Amino acid sequence: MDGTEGLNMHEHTKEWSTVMKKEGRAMKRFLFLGALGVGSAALFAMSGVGPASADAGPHTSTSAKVAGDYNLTAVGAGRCAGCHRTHTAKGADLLKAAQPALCYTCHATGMGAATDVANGVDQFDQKALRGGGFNTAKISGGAASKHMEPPTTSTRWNATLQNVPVLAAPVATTSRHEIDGSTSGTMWGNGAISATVNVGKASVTLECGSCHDPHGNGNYRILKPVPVDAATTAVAAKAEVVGVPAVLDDPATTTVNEAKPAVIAVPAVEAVAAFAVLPVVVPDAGAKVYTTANYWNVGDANVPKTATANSDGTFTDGYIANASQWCSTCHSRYLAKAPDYKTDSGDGTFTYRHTSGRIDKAGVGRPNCIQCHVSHGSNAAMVGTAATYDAPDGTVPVKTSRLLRIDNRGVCVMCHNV
Amino acid sequence: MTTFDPTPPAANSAIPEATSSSSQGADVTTAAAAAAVSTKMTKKRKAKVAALVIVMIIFALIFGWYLFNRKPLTELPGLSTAKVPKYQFSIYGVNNPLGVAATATGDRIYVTQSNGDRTVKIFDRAGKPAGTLKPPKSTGEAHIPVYVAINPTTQDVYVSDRSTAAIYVYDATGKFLRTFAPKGNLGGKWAPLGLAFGPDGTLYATDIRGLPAKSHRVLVFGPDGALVRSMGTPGQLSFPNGIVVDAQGNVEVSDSNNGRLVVFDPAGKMIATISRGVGDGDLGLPRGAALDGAGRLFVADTTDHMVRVYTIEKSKATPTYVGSFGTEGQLDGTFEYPNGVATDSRSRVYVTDRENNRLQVWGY
Repeated sequence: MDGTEGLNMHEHTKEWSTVMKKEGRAMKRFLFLGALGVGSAALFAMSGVGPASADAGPHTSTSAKVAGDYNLTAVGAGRCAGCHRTHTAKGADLLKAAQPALCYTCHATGMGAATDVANGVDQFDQKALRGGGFNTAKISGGAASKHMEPPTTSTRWNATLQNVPVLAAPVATTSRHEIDGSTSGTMWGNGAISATVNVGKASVTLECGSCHDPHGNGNYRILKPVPVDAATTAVAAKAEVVGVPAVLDDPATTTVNEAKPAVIAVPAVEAVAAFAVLPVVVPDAGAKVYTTANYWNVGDANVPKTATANSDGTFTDGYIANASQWCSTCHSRYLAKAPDYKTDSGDGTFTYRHTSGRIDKAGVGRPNCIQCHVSHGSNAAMVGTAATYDAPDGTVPVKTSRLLRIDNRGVCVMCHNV
Repeated sequence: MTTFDPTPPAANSAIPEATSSSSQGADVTTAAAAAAVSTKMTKKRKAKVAALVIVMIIFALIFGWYLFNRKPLTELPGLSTAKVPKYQFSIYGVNNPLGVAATATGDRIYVTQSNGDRTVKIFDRAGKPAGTLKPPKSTGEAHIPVYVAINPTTQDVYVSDRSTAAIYVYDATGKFLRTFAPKGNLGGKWAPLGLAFGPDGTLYATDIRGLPAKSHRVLVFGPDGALVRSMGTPGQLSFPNGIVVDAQGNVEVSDSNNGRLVVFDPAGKMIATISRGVGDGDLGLPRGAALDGAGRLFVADTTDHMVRVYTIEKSKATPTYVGSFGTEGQLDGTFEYPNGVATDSRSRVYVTDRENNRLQVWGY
């Protein structure tokens, strides 16, 4: 071996080192790419993504009681937060969200309350709610019946044993009070008697809270003494009416727990006048009856009689007596006493009117608003002529049952033997 | 493509033998140096190879873990579980959905509908319709399916029905099998609502019966349907909805109308509550509840339009609040009255978005 051999060896070693470096880089690259590939596959694969009741419910509050001392820590107990937010509310009245979805959270499926007003049933026992339902109801209006007693020398044909049975399962409603807060309609007959043709207040929207006070106020079925939008100047030309009390909508200032007769203030000033209402009190009942087996029976024996005695010494049924009064806080010109059906009211639209405010002294109470109509929604079917009856403004509504309890205007012959 | 030959160059052939006496010493020195270099290089190379092999083994282990668990990397063992999921996508085509349940792999998702045809819809993992659960006519005309749960031992699907106060049992494909018939004295008519299963098939059901008053409770049935235990003293619970059973055997219940979460120990003793309020972790109107494999508890706070997340720790009776996800709205990731919650083993969280008529899928 000469000197060049050692040099060669050294060069060879360098060569080997160079090869090693190259190969090492290649290996690193291989391993790196391999690891990257495996890792990417793992990451890709592991991303894992392919394409209020009154029974301890939110309605309980101090306002539900008339008087007494309360431990606010116990009574409040964060209960307000179930429905309200003080500074970050998403709905009016500091509600967490808009009605009716908030109310339906409990009152549409029976998950938070027995009274399912959307379906018109009591979910504890599947009985029918007396007010019907907003989406479905169980009124068997097609099977309504009555018994006819032949006339005697002193009576005419007499109808008895009227019955509007209950369906086995709810069916879709054909009319309802629209309570979604956005569907507008006309509040028929709202306002004072007026010779000027006027069908009522237009573009009214309703919510559950338009009629009900969820916190309780001493009124039956937590009805507001004056529903939202009830008091309105239907004709604003003469808004100043001396002697008509201001509208009272705040339970805290309306002394709703004082049982006093309801008054509908229809000012007796000309035919065109301002309109205002007084709060209507329907005394609360300890044991409420929300359901019915016969939709013709509308009374509630549990509701205490009003303090006002009739002339014959009897007392008027508080519920029946005041229900019509309460309905007419909005539909004011519908309220009529006999013989208004043959007496010109002087109103340009509601000229002759069916009796709707008569109170039966025995407490049965007919005819009045709720004898023929339900409050929430009806599934009564209207066909033929009954489906084409126009509304006070001359239009024919799509949903034609008008909250009636019986198919095809059968309500008429439940009383009238024709 | 570069190939790698791990064999060193043939040193003996490449390095001439040192035969020359004159250059022998130098050659020896050079050879020793070369050998040293070679040895050094080999050790360094071996270390690198070893490191890379370790890395690959780690990746292989992770990949194997994934294949076994099918979870995202964020759920690797040892990482914190105290976190909220992220919105992934929504499944539409459900009508006012209330309850939801998913198989462990998430390949079948059951959603109850409280409106429309009021059936239970089945979706696959991608959100495609895969069937319907509907009770037969003999069970009546009126139905409102509310909550749904899957028996882990049989894969049968249990659906509570509010209108008929019953629990209907279906097989995994949606075929109606029977109405659950509890054995034992329930003390009158019951009204089952929230449903959950223990790992052995023990059924936990909330009961919101109407009579006697203030008698809402939790009922526990053995795998044979026999009543084992009742939880909740008179007046203690008000419309209990969602229910879960944790790893310790404790039972977490949404005591909805009392606005709180209640924890019972396995014997039925109330050991902790999370109350209604506006502080961190406080509740508004809690409804559905679900537990995942990482020990996270999800509670749908329906009037707050969000889902609360807690962790359940063995040493603490009260779940620890982690955070919430969702807010009120109609956009992706926002809720209008969320009600039901479910999880699968792949770190997905399913939430029924009642008024938006959809099922939202969240995940880690």
